[in-house]
Amino acid sequence: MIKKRDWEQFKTIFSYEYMGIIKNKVYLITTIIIMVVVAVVLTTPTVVGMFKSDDEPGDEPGTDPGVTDKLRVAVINNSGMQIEEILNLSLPNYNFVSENSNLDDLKDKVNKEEYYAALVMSNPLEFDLYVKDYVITNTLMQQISSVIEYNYKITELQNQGVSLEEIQRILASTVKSNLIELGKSSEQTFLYAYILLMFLYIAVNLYGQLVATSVATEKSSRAMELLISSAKPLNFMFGKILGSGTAGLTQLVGVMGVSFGFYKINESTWSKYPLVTSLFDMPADVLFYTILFFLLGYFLYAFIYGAVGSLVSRIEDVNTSILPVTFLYMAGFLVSMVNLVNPKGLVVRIFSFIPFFSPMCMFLRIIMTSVPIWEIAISIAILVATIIFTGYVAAKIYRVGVLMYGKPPKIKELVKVLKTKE
Amino acid sequence: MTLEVKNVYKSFGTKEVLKDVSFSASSGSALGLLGRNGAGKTTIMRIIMRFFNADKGSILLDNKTFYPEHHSIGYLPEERGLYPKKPIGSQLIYLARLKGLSTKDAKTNTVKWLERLGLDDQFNKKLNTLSKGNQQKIQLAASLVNDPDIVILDEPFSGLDPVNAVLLKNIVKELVEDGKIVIFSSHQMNYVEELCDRIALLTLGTIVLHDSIFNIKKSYPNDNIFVSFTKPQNVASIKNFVGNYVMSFEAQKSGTNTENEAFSFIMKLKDDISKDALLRMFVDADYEIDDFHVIEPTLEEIFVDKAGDAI
Repeated sequence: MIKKRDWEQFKTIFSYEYMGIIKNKVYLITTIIIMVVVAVVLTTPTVVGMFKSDDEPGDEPGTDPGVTDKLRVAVINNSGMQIEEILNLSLPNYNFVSENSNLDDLKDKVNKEEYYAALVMSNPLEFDLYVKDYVITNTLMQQISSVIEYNYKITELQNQGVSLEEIQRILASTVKSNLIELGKSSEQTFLYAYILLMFLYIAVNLYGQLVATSVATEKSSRAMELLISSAKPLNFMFGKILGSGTAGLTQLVGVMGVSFGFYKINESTWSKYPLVTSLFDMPADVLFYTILFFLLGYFLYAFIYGAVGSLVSRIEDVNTSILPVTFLYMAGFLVSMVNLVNPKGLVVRIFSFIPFFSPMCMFLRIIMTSVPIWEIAISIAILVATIIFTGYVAAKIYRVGVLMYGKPPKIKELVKVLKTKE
Repeated sequence: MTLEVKNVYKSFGTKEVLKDVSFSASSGSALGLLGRNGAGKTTIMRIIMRFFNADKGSILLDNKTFYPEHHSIGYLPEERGLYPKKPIGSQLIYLARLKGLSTKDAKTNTVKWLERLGLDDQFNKKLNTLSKGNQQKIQLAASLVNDPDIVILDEPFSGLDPVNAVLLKNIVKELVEDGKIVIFSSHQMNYVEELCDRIALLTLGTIVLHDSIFNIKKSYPNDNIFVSFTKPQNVASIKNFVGNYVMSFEAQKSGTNTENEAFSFIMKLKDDISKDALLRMFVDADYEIDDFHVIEPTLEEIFVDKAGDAI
């Protein structure tokens, strides 16, 4: 039974903590900056599009640039096969020029950027391509390969007496395929899984650490004794944790609201990008699980952070003391991040039932694969049970920790504290 | 109401901090909790506040187990501090609300106590902009903002200038007059002597003295006599005059110009000699006596006597 006095105290502490964070300048500025960035990112393509359509109608990819703009590629051809002409026809962005000079001279010219590249063909199906700096998005190699390959096939087949029409018909034939996914498409879910996991990781850490710092501040500013002579320590811990959590949720809902609003305003621009639309057409259950796992993860870690904060005497020690907790949470984050490409993997499945990791790993599985409802239920049940147990232990540590100054207690002493009855 | 600490024991690890500590304080009187540093004063206060429990013994209010949260209590901890970066007024209202006051009463009381302490213009200032002494006063306001029935003050005078000390003294007096139970610890013996009816003296975790100051002083031998005369007297002749009656004799040389004359004398009577006999002797010899009284030990002397040897 919660007594009326306790409830009143809890409410008072909750609203004091909540308002304290909400009115905090850093919190306000951070939230506003995030909102502005989101708004700018979502609006920029629309604005850019407006200017583009007015000024530069011709600047579309695929348009044949003038000869002077073409990239020059030197060709040393020892294959006995005529290839320069067909390359020039097939790849209109490049100008292939036959060269008779030796390879070293050519390399030199490529280095001096007189040529963009040098193509050396030793036989009909083998070539080397020399370029100065290779960029991963450069497709010249593949383009030349396919031209040469295509050309070789046509020539060979013609030599066999097959007519050109036949050859073209055969080579042009393609397989039409459709992938029909009955579960969830990882292509669609990948981006929002990534973003939401990042979000969960940052939010739980941020607000959990806020609890630790806040408790440690009350201790180091020696406010604690006066505070707990005015209200019960338990009410303080729960008021603080729920207050910070609600502040976090407020920020989350605010940022989500702004993102959605600006997406709607710019919807016509973004409709061309399925990856982005998938993010905003997120199913309602994903939204539900995001908030659920944020809250569960937050409570679990906030209790731990709160207990750790209560054991620290000086505010400078907070960061080092909470490091193990942060690492624990980071482990769950890393496992889920690594397994973004393999959400059905055994490791993720195991981790999705371990309470300290399940807020991220089960969440990943739910949004990227089809998880049986009983698995979700068990995972959440284990998590909730752990939260209750952690809350109980944290409350005991907190009660004793807040009045303990000087050297931090040893594990043995902590265990003794936990064993003592009220 | 009577708050009673009964046979309390407390150990931290292997160190026994309190051994069979008992004392009591009643409404309308102040109890001074005295003791050297580390004697266990703060520990016993924290046990009364239930920050932790005693290993053995009990805290009773009118013979029933005392639960701090069921009563209106003002506690000024030894560790001073509040939220340094938050406005003073809002912090005090917050604390008053936590102590069970309605928002309206919390506001009224906050303003009342800030005015009483002369800090009413600091309502919207942040705590860390105040001087140390004023922060101390805010701390006091925080303990008293709920107009408590039981007031426990741990070293309330430390860090206050003489003017503020007088202000606090008057507040404590008012609290006693209003019928509150007041327990406070202090090393300023003059304040304790002035404010407290009773003291409890802790030495190494045990109560070595618990009584009214009046009784304690009475229990000390009253054989130290102060005599002063209207005219300066020759030291040698007075010494000769009282010779057989006193164990020790000391002339106070102030007020006279000559080495061998003095107005006043302090003498310690021999065991079988009464004060009356000494006084009668002076009167019979026609000495003009200005003042004749027993010198009581000061609280400080009693303190040093009882707690001085403890290490």
